[in-house]
Amino acid sequence: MIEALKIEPTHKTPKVYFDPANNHFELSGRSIPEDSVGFYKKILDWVEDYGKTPNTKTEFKFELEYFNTSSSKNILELLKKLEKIHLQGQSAVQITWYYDEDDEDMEETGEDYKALLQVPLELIMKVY
Amino acid sequence: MNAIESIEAETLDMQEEQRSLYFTYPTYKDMFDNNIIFAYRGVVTSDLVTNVLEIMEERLEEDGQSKKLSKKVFNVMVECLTNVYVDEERLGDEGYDPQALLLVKRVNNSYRVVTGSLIATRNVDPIKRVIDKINNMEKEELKSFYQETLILEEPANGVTKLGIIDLARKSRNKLVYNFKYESQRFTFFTLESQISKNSI
Repeated sequence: MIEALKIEPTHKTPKVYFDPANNHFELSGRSIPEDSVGFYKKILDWVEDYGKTPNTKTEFKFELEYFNTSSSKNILELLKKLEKIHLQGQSAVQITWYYDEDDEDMEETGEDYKALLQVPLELIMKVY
Repeated sequence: MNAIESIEAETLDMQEEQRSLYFTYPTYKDMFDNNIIFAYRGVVTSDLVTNVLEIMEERLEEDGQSKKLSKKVFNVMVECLTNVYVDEERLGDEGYDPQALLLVKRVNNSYRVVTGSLIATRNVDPIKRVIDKINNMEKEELKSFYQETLILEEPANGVTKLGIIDLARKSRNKLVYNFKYESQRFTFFTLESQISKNSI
């Protein structure tokens, strides 16, 4: 099994917690780095490797506070990789997209991804 | 330096100080008259975005704004600032000025986020075409255009088509822009996004 990928969050980059042993996959917080391509490269490479020997089920959680459009391109790439794993039948992928009840933009972005991808994606509103 | 020269030099220094103070009031008055509640000029990095959001959070709280409106203003600001992020790869380029301007105005029931920065003059027409195109789109058309661009556009620094569409979508208002030609290489680009209480 591939080793976990854990990156601590900063005020400009998200928490990355990809732990196949515990079936915990999470991307959360802020994603507004200047160089989003550089930041996401490691993440995308990891998911590519994970796709070679994935768990039978992969539950992936997105819980973002803010992100900019250069990050949204990379998040799409990440979702596409998960879609590929799912469509090839290697793992039943389930994505959960959380958004704050006051954040209609985050909800819309989740809807955009859902419309563009053929992978189960559930939108869940967080109520305070 | 003799005594007379020294007095003359001191007088010149004082005149210089007077002159700088002379410009303070018009700047203040201009900001007051235009309801500018936040202004920044300098290099924009993601660290700055965090600080700006913290300040704006307090301002919006003072204004008694709803969480929904505040969130909207933040989301628009994040994207506006991304559009004027410093391009570190270009820092050594001759004539490249990484400094940008950010203004936040409060006008009646709306907030306006304005950015100003130097862009390559050759990019003026493509940017203008995109803004004119999206300013004529309805909500659903804008959504399709966003999704299409999200798939097709390569990630890039600076002003991107996706970034501009995103601003129009999030602000739910038409974008206002202006180009001030500086040279064959650079043009000052101003972009204003408006978030109004009525449109959220």
